[in-house]
Amino acid sequence: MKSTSYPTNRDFIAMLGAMALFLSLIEYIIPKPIPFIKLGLANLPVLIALTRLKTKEYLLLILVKSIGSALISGTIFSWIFLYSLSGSLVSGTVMYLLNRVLKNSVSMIGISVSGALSSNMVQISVAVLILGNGAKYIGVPILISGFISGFLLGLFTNKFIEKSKWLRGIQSIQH
Amino acid sequence: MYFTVIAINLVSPNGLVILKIGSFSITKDSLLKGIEKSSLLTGILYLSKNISLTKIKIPGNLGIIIRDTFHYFSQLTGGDRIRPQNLIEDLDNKLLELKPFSSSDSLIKPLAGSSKMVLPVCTIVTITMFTIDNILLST
Repeated sequence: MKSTSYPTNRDFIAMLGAMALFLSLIEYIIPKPIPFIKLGLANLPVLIALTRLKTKEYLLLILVKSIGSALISGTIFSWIFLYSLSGSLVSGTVMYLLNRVLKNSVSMIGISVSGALSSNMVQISVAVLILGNGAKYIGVPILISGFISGFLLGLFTNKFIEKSKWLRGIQSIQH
Repeated sequence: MYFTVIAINLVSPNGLVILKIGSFSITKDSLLKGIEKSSLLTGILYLSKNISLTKIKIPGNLGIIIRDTFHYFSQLTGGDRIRPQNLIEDLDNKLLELKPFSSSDSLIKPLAGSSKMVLPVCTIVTITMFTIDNILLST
């Protein structure tokens, strides 16, 4: 009989997905003084997954995260879901490519900031397409907030990776 | 939890002041946002507590991952609370305690009498949302 204390890769994706949902929930509860500013806490599992999952599994995690976050914020059947999914897929791809191509020459903070900015740029483009040219005026504050939140999330991810006993346990099983 | 989420939202005032207690003001938009968030979260938590217990099977690997995701999510939302000042350690402890779905078909127990509670909870959430949309927002 298989030991149940050893998670499979499928379990790991589901755990990261659940973690993204849980962090979305925490973020959802925190009141936002300005509506479009997001901390992006749910991206923590995506950053953790960068070096630990294969391409297909990584994309699956982004999909699970996007569907789960939309379920939590109640936007699954609205255009906001497409807006968020497009941002997540592009930022996920940018972060994945940066990590694969530049490997050790880019830090987690750099990857996180690039992901946040690419996600914001896609979201601004989608907003311009849907809402018209007026939407571009919110572009600059969104990019500034994306930079700050990406930077803070990168710092938080570094700290989590450094401190997490759970992640060390998973790594020792996978290697 | 319902009232905690409302209270958290009341901390950042927004909109018309409807009640003043000392220096603390309860504002209409913050109260509505708090009720809306609480209702939605209650619904989501009940959904996650019960989704892994239902006989609905989504085919394929994606279906298994979604089922397992909700299974782990229901474990993360239960148990000890997360303290904001100790977010990493508390989150890590919760992750360390996760039990895989394969090992715990019987580990995730439904909330006491949860199958009987699903309908009343759904009714309460629906009525609350209806009230917010149709009565309070029109004033």
